[in-house]
Amino acid sequence: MKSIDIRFNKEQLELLKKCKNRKFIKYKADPFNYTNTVYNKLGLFIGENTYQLRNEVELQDYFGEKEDVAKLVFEEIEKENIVSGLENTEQKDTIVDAKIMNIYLIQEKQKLVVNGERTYEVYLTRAIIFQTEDREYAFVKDVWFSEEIEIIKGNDLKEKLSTHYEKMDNEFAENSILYIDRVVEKV
Amino acid sequence: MGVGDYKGGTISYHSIRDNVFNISKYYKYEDGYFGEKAKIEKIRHIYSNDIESTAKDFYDKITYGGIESCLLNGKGKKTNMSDGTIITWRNTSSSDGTPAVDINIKYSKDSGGVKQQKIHFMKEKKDEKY
Repeated sequence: MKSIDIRFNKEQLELLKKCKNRKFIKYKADPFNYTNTVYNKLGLFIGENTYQLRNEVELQDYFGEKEDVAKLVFEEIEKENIVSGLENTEQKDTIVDAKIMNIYLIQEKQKLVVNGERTYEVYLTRAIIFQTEDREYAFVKDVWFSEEIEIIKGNDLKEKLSTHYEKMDNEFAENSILYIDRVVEKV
Repeated sequence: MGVGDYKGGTISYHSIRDNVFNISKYYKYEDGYFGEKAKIEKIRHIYSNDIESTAKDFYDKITYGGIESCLLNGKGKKTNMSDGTIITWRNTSSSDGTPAVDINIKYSKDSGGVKQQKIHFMKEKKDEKY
């Protein structure tokens, strides 16, 4: 059985921990174009620091196929370097201006079973949720090949994003089942 | 939006459903998928002697009437369709160096039967000579 882990690593988790109890000033992202998604990256202004959330493809073993698979990355960045992933696109600011009370990660586990045998286990970070004084802001990784990031504002987002169970039959091989499950992890 | 703002100069914003009938005249289309199945159903292959031209032609036909943006550093292009489908064309995929087109229907209200898939454009295998 092969195990693949593309969740946030220790460094990224430490960076996120530093964001707790600090002011979420704003985020900077492409304007929405019909969907509530932005391409590839956005900037987060938290306290005196600036961060970038990227959803970027890298070569991975995708259930036996070598493929470009998208992975979320959270990193500190100079504010001058926050730019769109698209040419000729001016990002716009969305003001938050609220203290971050808690940060949650939606962690996803995918388990592939072929002819009754477990062949792959994949662990990935599906979303970050910043819980402020009055609402939640979720930044969600898109489908496996896509570099889009979905942005959702509201309440009870932890529940809405983690209540997801999926089962796919015979899509990855004959007599195969892929199980997808999510859990909420508090940073 | 004015005339010329949609890809191909159409006067209306197209959905992917608007383009499926036309593109299926040029490329194999069955049960919502284009081309031939790879090992995994959602990964498809379209074979050609000129993979760059074929990839561009496929991408242009399926995104006709959409709103196109260029990815930074010449990596490719992406187009948003009126139903919410997002279609991305990459010049080179890391996996095998071939061009690829992704069709993302996650946000689509009506994909016209087209399914979520990633299409690689592959060189036709040469005939063996005896």
